[in-house]
Amino acid sequence: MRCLILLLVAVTMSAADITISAPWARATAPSALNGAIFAAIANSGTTADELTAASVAPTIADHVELHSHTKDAQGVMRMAPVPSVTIPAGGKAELKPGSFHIMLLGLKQPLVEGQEIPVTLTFTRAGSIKAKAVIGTIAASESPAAVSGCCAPEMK
Amino acid sequence: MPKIPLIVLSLVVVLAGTGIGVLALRPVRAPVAAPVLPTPEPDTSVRPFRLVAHTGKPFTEQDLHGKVALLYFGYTFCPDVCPTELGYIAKVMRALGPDADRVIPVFISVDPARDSREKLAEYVPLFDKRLIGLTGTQAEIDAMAKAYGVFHQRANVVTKQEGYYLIDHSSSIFLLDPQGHLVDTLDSDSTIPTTVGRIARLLPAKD
Repeated sequence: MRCLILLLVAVTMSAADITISAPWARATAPSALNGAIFAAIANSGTTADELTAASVAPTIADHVELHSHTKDAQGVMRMAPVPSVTIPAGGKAELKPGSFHIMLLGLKQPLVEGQEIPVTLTFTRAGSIKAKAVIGTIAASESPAAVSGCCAPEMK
Repeated sequence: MPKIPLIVLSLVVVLAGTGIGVLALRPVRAPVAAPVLPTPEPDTSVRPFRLVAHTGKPFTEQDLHGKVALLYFGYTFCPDVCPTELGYIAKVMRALGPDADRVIPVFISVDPARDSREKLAEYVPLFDKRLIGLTGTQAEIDAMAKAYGVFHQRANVVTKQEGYYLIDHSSSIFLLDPQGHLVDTLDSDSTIPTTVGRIARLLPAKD
């Protein structure tokens, strides 16, 4: 049943040339103050677009920022806010662990596995696009919708 | 054609050929996913430490003795890399099956100011019930991080959230043998079976 729900919410949402696929987030610890949303964003157009902002309801988090994550030559992970994420023409940008992500700051409640976070992504050209991020386990490394055999017993 | 230049030419060809041969024989290095630093020092001495586990009990290097240990330094506010690495450790623990009894996974907070014992207690079991969370005073944490060559520093970035900060830190999983010697670092880009194999070679004999 959960698989079915995940499949339903994983339906891609698009506006003009931008398609947001399988947005997801990780569950958080009960008193966690932040979380991250990931997604693959494809641009089928002939002009690059920029993801410039993301927002969630104030009941979910105080602030939302776009962040990047980089591993330097010394193996040190550094995270920092970025003004935008480019979606190249005919290409895609992957918001994924260890890379770009939508950072939720000041969570009002923990992110619970199986629930969804309505999120609005704002692009320079495509405008605002609404999506729903599915919450996977705290240890998830990819979208719950993308995990084949998500309900196999060994994954429990 | 004059003879000498021909000989010289032949020599050049032979030498060039040898050079190519040497180049071809050079071991082809597998692409390194990401340089993992700090490189563990060749010194394999046991690195003593004294911290507090998420259970409230004191925890020292003695508590690792007799088991293969997986040590990861991070912090619970870390939204991205730490869950990725801890999730990898959890997968490895599951894949080890019954052998996991002789393996101890440990998460050491580099953010003791925010990561209280209670905070760790609600965090670490979400990955694996066997995962031990450690915290302590800043000085104790700094000493242990230094012993393992782990870099950690409050990031100089400004976020919209007041009072909120991030920490830049080394992201390596240290592999210790049952005697407490640091023998290697694990790369979460490795497949689970590869890592399980590396751990299995270190496992102590069953009682």
